[in-house]
Order: sequence, then C-alpha cells, then structure tokens
Amino acid sequence: MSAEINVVYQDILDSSSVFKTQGVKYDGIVPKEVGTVPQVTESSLSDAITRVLEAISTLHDSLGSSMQIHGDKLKTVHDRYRNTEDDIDDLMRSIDDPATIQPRVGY
Amino acid sequence: MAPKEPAPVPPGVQAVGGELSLGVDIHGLAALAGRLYGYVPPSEEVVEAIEQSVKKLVTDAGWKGDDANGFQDAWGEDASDAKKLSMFIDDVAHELDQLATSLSELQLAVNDRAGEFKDKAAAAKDDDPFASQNADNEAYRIWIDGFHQARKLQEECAKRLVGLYSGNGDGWSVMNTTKSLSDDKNLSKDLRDRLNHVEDELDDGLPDDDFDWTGFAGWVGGGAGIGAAIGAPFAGVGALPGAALGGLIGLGAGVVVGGGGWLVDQIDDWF
Repeated sequence: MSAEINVVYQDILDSSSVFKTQGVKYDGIVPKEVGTVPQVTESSLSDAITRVLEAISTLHDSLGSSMQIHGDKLKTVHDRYRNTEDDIDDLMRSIDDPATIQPRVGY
Repeated sequence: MAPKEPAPVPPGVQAVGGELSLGVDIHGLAALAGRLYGYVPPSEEVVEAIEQSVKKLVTDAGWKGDDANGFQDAWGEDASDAKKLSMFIDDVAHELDQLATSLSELQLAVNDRAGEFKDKAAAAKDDDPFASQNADNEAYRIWIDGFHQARKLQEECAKRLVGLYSGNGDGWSVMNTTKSLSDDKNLSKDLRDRLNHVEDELDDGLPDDDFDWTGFAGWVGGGAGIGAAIGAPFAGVGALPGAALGGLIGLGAGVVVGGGGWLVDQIDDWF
C-alpha cells in the first residue's frame, strides 16, 4: 500500500474523530432548557421568546447530531476503503503465486 | 473570542414588582441576552475546527471521488446552517439587549417624574392638605403612561423576533431550516419530532394577513394579568388590596376589542 493512500486513510479517520468530538461539543453548548422566559407584560413577546428559545435549542441539538453522523459516515468510508484495499492486496498476492489460483468450478 | 456582553442595567432600575415597576423583569431580559451572546463564540469555534479538518482532508490529503464530493456537499449545508444559526442567535440577543436598555430608560424616566411630584407634595404639605393625594394621582398617571409605552416596546420587539425567525428575504430562515432538518432521515425520530413541533410553533406565531389576532388575543387574554399589574403598585388603596382593585379594572377591560389606548382613556375618566 502506498504511503499516499495511507495518509488519506489516516486523515479520514482523524476527520471522523474531529466530527464526532466537535459534534458532541456543539450539542452541549445550548441546554435543552435555555431558561425561563423573563416576566413581561406583553403576551406576544412572551410567546415569541418561548418559540425562539425552543428553536435555538432544537436546531443546536439537530446540527450537533448531524455533525456526529458525518463522523460515523467517515469512519464507514475509512473501513470500506481499508476492506477494499485488503481485498486487492489478497488478489495481488494470488496473482504473484499462480499455484494459489483455484480454477472456477463449472467452466 | 470573548462573548459579547449586554448593556448593563443602570442602577435605580427596580426589580419587577417593586414600587412603580413597569411589570417587566428588565434584569432578566438583559441576563437572557447575555446567555444567548455566550452561545455564539463556542459554536463558531466548533465549526471552524471542523472546517480545518475538512480542508486538510480534501485539499492537503487529496481525498477525491464520489464519496468525497458527497461528503463535502453534505457538510457544506450543515456548515452554512450552523453559521447562519449563530448569526440568528446573535440577532435575537441584540433585540433583547436593546429592549432591556429601552425599558430601563423608560423605567428611570417614570421614577424621576413621579419622584418630582412627590418631592413637590412633600414641600407643600403644610399649605395643601391634598398635596400628598394629588401627588399620588399624578404618579399613577405617569406610571400608566409608562406601562402603556412599555407594552408598545415589547410588542415591537416581538414583531422583530418573528421577522428574524421567519426570514428577512435572503432565503435562509430558522423556519426553513427546521423544516428541512425535520425531513432528514439520518436524524433520530425524537429529533425529527421535536423539529416538527418547533416548525408548528413558529408557524403559529406568524401574523395573519387580514387581522391582528395575535395582538387581539394577547390583549383579551392579558386583561386579568394587566389588572393585577395595574393594582400592584398601589397596594392598600382604600379598603381594597391593590391587586384586587387592579383585577376588577383588568377583567372589565379584557373583553373590549382594542388596545391599550382605550384602557388609558377610561382609567383617566374613572380617576
């Protein structure tokens, strides 16, 4: 396996880790309950603040979750690439040693 | 980067419920603005850290192909949403910060004007047996004016918050982002349900085109609350506790179509 491909594999794995760690951090920045709405005398303001706070909390959780999912997907890509690379290595070794090649049954 | 700080609430602005209080927790509004400001820098740091990692992966390491392209597109959308969300949070914090500042100025003006009448009454009490009562009446009128102005300021702030979350015409909005994320099957069902709920709530808060039901409902619904708020600063007036007196006024005003102007005129006639 070339050194360049190894670098890509490692970078994908590192990036996966960054996404997962930072996604957890992002999720934790805004608490689920941002706080009680301060007492006001205009109900439209109380309603607007309530809606906005809930939106901020929910969107933060969602984007944080999405970041972690990107991390999972990068890990999957990394693993798939490694598995494919291993399969190719096995095939190359087989070609180098023809004695290990088995004829196909049925031909 | 240090987070922004809201403008400090000036000394002399009393806590909600204090004598001549306009009924708004001004300190609470400023504190909430400060909390929201505080969310922005760490959020931006997270996005920056991820962007650095992605740059290293696709540029320096040279990850290419369909997987790389799909990944960049997906992350690009999330990065854009995260940056816009930070801007939105900052805008909301700014609105609440400004409201706290405006209400502080109004509260101090009410305190000062009412205080002037009380000082004059104290100086004149030996010559005018009604000086104290007259000062109380004037202080009440000043407070009612201030209360009405405070409600207007809050109403305007509410409209601006609705404008912020519904979008200002540049294509991105909290509402649109909430809707699109609620369709993202990668997210858990719990999160998608929460997003759907938020989308419905935000939609409910949008004004109707033909009638200001939000303002009307708020006024009618707030009658008893307004009454109690009117009565509270004048606790002990006559034989009735102030809150009960205010409650009678508030309940009566609550069924009337219309706004604070009518209530102010009527109370002037009654007093």
